[in-house]
Amino acid sequence: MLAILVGSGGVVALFYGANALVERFAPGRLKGRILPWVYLAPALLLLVAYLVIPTVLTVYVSLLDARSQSFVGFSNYISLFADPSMGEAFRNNIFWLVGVTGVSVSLGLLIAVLADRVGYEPLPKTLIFLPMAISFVGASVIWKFIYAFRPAGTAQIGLLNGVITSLGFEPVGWLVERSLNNFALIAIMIWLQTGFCMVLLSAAVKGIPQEMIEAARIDGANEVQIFWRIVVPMIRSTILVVSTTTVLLVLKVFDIVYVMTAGNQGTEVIASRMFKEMFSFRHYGRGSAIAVMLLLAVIPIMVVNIREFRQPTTR
Amino acid sequence: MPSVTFKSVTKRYSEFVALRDLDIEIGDREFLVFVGPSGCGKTTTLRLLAGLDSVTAGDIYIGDRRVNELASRDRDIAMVFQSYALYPHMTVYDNMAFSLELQGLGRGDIQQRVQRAAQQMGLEDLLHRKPKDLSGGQRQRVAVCRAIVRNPAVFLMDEPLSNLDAQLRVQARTEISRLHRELKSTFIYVTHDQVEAMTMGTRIAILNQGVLQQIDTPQAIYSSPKNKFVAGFIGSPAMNFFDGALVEMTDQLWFKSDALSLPLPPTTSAQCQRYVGQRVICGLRPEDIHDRCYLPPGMVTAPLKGTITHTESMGHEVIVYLTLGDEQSCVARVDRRSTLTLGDRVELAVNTAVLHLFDPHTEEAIS
Repeated sequence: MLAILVGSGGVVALFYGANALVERFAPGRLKGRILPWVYLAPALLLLVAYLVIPTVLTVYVSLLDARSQSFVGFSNYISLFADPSMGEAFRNNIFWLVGVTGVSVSLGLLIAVLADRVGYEPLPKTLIFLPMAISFVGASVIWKFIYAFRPAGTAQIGLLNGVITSLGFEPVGWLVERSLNNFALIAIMIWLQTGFCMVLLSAAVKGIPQEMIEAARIDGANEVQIFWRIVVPMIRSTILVVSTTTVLLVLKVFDIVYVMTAGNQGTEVIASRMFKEMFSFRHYGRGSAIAVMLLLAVIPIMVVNIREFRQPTTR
Repeated sequence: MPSVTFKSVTKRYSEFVALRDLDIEIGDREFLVFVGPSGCGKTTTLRLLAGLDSVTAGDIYIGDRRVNELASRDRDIAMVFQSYALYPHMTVYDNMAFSLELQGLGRGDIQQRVQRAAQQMGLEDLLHRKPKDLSGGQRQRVAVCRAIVRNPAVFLMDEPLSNLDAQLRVQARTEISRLHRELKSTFIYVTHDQVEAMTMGTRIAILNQGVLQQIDTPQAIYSSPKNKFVAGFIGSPAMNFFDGALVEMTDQLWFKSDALSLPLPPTTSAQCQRYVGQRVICGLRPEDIHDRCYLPPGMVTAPLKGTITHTESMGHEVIVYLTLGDEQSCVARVDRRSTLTLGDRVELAVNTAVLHLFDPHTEEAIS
């Protein structure tokens, strides 16, 4: 409480003081030019201190050796590309990207369109949105119970195994089985992300004028044709923003993998690999190199995202 | 080209009755205009016919086919919406081609039909633009064009001109009338603008509170309105109404009120016998009140005395507002050369050949 008061009071005092200084000492003509910068400066300073400098430092460290003592050029990158576990992380991440983005965006869109047509719309939408409020770690803990595995013959405490053993099947080690575990993890993220996609897409769907749909209906379109030829093109920019936002989120995915499997049994992703290089193996060079690769992967998607935001409607 | 028939059609939205027992037969190649104040049920009628809403009771026929349960796309209709409802992500060409593509027409066919329709509306140069790059008038023409290209049996138009400025509206009005002549199909048009109704319709249907008031040619509706609502709705400035009584004096029927007394023409007197000695409402159109100095020759008139409270010179005519005695006011439309001025106490001349009498209880015309 005290911290909040002091903090926000301090910010107000800072801006007020700076403004008063400029008002008093700057000559009339210059004042208009300086004033905007006075207000921008604190934010810019914070950005430089907490974003720009660390980024530059990370790039620099990625060119040094494990202890950051001597310059090794690109050898961190080269060794990473040669490392099979890094390859596995890349492969899995692409899996994640396609799986989570594809399923949660299309599922979100489907629910948005279908819920739009029923009278009790808020109920399914609330239920699907609910997981959004749960942190990744919290969700992982919940799903740990769902996926829990005990050897055959003993009591199953996991929901999924409880169901399938009661149907007479053998229990499955969802998180250990190499053919399944990545899907099991991806499902968690889909569960978390679909609500977000649905809410944004639903707002966009509601933004389409009713007359447009009626015109299409008179023009002879059936409901499926209306969906693909009118609804989807008209909310294209929202679909793009939702997809890129999800892609960004998935690229950085770490918590779920770390809590559920710690990246073992072939579930490694880029971020969990980075964590391992950095904090388990204490190889700052390689850890930073992974961070830089992640950054490079994120940038083009960021650009698309920001561009779409700048012109929110393509109408 | 088929006709359209409404058989005692009723539409209810939960408690609210939007349309009550509508019976209309719309002939082939007719241009029927539905007109009425907001919420009178005119748009509802159009939506029922388009299949965008379902009827609560009654039947709708297009030709011999009962279409109550038929989907919009199978009704062989096209509709122009008030907001135009152009697809924003498609070019003008694609907007027009959309329905043809859905019909499964070949590429060449589509191109030919779109080109022909575009020529008809003068849109050839705009085919590759998106709706957002068009002006309001151009959008309206695209919306009409999108309907033409389908070559439907019935055209439905829901206030298509209400988003245009006055000048464009006049132009678009003549254009739609021209289309009706050229296409030789049935047009059903909804508007709240009586000028559009009078100038475009071959017949006008006037609705009020979901009930059909009168359906007839524009001229018939203007000259013999069936009730007080129709009389007051059609005509601008609106008809003047006077409360009074019908009395018989010296072998002649007179309409008498505090402000004026008018002899009824011999032709109408006969039909009014049973109202003698009873209260009636008399309706006078503003153009039937004249400046005495510019009276058409041979007109039988009665005097109307009042004080001028306001005048509007329109150029081709002068609108004069008067008070007659207490509380009773009246509007007259007089010759443009008239020199009546504000504050004058004047005597104007009423053409007694065109009085409209209404029953004060039912508000039906007495005839």
